[in-house]
Amino acid sequence: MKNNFFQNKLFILIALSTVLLFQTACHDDHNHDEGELITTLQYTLIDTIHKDTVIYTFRDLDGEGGNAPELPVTGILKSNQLYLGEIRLLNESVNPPEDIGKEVAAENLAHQFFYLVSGSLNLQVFYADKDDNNQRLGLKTTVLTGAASKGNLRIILRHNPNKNAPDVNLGNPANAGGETDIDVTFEDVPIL
Amino acid sequence: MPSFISGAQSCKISLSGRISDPHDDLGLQFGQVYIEETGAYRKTDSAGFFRFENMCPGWYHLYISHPGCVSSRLYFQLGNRDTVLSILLEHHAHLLQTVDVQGVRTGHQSSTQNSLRIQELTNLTAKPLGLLLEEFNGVNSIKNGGNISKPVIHGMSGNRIGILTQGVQLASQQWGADHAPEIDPFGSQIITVIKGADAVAYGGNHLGGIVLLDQEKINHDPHLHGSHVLSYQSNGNVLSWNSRIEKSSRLFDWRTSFSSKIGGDLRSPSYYLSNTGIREYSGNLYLYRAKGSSLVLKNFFSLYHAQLGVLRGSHIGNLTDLEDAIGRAVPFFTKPDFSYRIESPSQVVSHIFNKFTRQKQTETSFSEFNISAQLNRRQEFDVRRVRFQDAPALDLLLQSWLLEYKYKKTEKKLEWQAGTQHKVNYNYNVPGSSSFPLIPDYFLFNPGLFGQLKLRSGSWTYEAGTRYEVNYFSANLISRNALEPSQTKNHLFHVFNSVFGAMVSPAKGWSMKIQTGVAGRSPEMNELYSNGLHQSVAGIEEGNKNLNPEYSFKTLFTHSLNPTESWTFELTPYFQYIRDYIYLEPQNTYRLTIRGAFPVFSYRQTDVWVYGLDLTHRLELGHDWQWISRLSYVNIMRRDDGSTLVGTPAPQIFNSISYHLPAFKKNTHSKISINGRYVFERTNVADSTDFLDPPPAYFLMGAEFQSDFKFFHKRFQFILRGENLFNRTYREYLNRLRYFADETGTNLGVVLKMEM
Repeated sequence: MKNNFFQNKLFILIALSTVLLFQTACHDDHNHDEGELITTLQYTLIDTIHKDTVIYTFRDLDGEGGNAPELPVTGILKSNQLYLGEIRLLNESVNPPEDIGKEVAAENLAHQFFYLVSGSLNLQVFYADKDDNNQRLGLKTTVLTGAASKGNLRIILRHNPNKNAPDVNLGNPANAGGETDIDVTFEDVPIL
Repeated sequence: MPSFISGAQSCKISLSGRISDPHDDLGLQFGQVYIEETGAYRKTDSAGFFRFENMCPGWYHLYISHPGCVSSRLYFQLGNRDTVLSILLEHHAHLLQTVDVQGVRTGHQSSTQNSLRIQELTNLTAKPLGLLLEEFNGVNSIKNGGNISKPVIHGMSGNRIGILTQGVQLASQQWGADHAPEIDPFGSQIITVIKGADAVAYGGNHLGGIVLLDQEKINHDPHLHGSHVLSYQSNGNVLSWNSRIEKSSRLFDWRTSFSSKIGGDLRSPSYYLSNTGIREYSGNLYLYRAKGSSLVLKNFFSLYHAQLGVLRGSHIGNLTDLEDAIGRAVPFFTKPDFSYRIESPSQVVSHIFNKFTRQKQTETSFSEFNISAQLNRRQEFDVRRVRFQDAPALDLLLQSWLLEYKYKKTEKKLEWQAGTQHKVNYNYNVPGSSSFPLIPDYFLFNPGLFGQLKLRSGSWTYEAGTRYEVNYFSANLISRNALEPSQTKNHLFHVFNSVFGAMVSPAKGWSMKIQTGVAGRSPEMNELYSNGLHQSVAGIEEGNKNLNPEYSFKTLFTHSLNPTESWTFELTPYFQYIRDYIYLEPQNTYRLTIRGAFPVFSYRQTDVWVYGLDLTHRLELGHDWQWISRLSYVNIMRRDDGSTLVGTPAPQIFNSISYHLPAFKKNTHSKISINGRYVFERTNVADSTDFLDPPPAYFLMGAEFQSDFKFFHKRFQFILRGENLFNRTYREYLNRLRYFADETGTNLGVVLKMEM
């Protein structure tokens, strides 16, 4: 009975090769760098006259899930001023941190920021830069503050938006489509 | 009559015989018997008899067909004397109950099962497995568009359904609706669905049911035979091809089959579903060697590779995007023109499989030894920034090995079987995806033991079986914080299955079966440890490492009545209580991320009732008209608040009327049929558990024409199929894309099959 089994060398060979069919890929040098992750958004506003600096930051070092993000703020916006705004995007989960803003600037045709103000916040945001097709981008902005007030500022970054859709050039994301890469709301932003 | 045998033998032999149904021994009228060597053919008379005169001795190919049956081919030697053949032909699948595929697989004789054979498969050429299985009553499919689908049996899907190819569970990523099984159903000739929970002979976590894909026996025929199938589908301009050839030789019998499929963007009634193309290539080789009458060696090897496009407009970044997409008349990124191009998001999957079998048979015993290995690679590509565009966002490599031994002993009234299986899985996240793995690397060791008894006594048959298995997981959890070392977590689960069944046949054509059982399923890796943003459903999924195995207590009753050969009525109500049913529960919290706030879904356990009913009714009027009616209803109800769980299929009714056309010139077995499917609206789902209410009910019409003809001594089959004939716009509850787009519109399919 056993002999029969071993006489069939071809099949024995096949059986053996089945066991050894695949090499185990047991590498331990796991490198799962989240190169794509954006951990940090910084919106820096510099007063054109007094050079006062206000920085709104959203930082979530461990990405989605895990620990809650931090939203530290330095400085305070003043009424009736003109600010120059600039966005910085970082991936601080890797060492050294990567500047994702540069990637967005390089892929400017495929990205657009939107700035939405709600509540009674007396603030207007204007695009101060353009992409290679002369359409809105929003890494750089000009911000005009009004009377003292308080409200929310929401910053959205869309990937692959349709920049030709109605109102998109006015900073309205409703018809833009695309995927949202960033959607951050700073609540109760005060203007003194 | 031309003689193909030289020599002076007497060509005065008669060959006669009878074609009958194996279940009730009734002779089959209107059958056809065709002798390929001589070109002669006969029709069977009202008692199923046929007769050829003046035959010469020698080897002949006989082709036997019947409108209501599965055709079969016979190669045999006609000796120098008059010969009588008795030929049993199986009826078409709609009604098959107990097809014992190889005679060795006990474990499902008493369960409710249905099979599709190669002949029906031809009609459905180019359908993915999930959609193809919708031909079975009580089976639905969850989908992520037209190409990605997986079966739902009696309301159960994903981890609860085992897909077994050649008796081995397909090692694939089973979770979620957005991962289709990595298999080409047309590489197999018999597809069986086992709805019961009694399949103790199969390892793994198959609490909801099993789909078996099997090879038909290779005919002992030294000539090359096979078939080639070409098909075209108008929706998506899908071209597909499948070839199968087989031959029996002195050393071994072999069969090989190859398939390929190329399709472009599907179309809903009013727009193209951009980026829903498909490329699929597969092949297999089956070797069979019998040594004497007692020893059989087999080897099956298969390869599969596919690239599947996912609707571009279904790729979303956050909840706001999803809400925007839901409200749209036409999905974002819809292109005005048809294209074969596949861009991101897409999936690329490959599967390699080999199985070696050794069977030993004596008059009263049967033993089988199996060893198999599988390699499965799944890459999923998302729309990403340019730097990562060519890197998959998910890249998994799953390897699986299975060792199995079974022994069966048959005595007068008693039959018993025992066996053991040992499975090892190793899942590995291939580096380079630049994203955090949703599922950790893990190792699974899964040994199991089972035993079964079957006892016959008068008109009663009893069956009992039990299985014990261990699932040992060892997961390597890496932290998002690069400074923290990875952790190893181990889990050990014990799972018991038991089943008892009884079958009685009080009178001819009337049978009743009752089956009751307990089946366990241990939590799977995604339920324990998935962690992170499941972008396609705009939610954060959290595994739960404290899950326990879930246990199902199921009772199934089948009542089958065949008052006459032309009338069948089958009713299968079922009841299942599942303790600690594992499901994804929306939590009442949102988690703030840089992409906005996402709802959190967490794996929880609750007790549920699963109950439902499958009803099949078939009526033949004369031999020309046939009416088939099917109804299925299922509900998965939470025990605590009585609400229906998300993703429970809606009830549906299917009706088909077919007419066999009289033979015309060289066309035979021509059949024309129309069918209608009404799917109800899913009701009673708690509002807070889904982003969108279930879609309304819909009704679809289909039609089919098929005919066999001969051309240059070759047999051809021609099939013309139409689906959604009135180009209805609708959405299907179990399709994830219902948030984004309509279902496909009218589809016309043409299939041409050549047998050789």
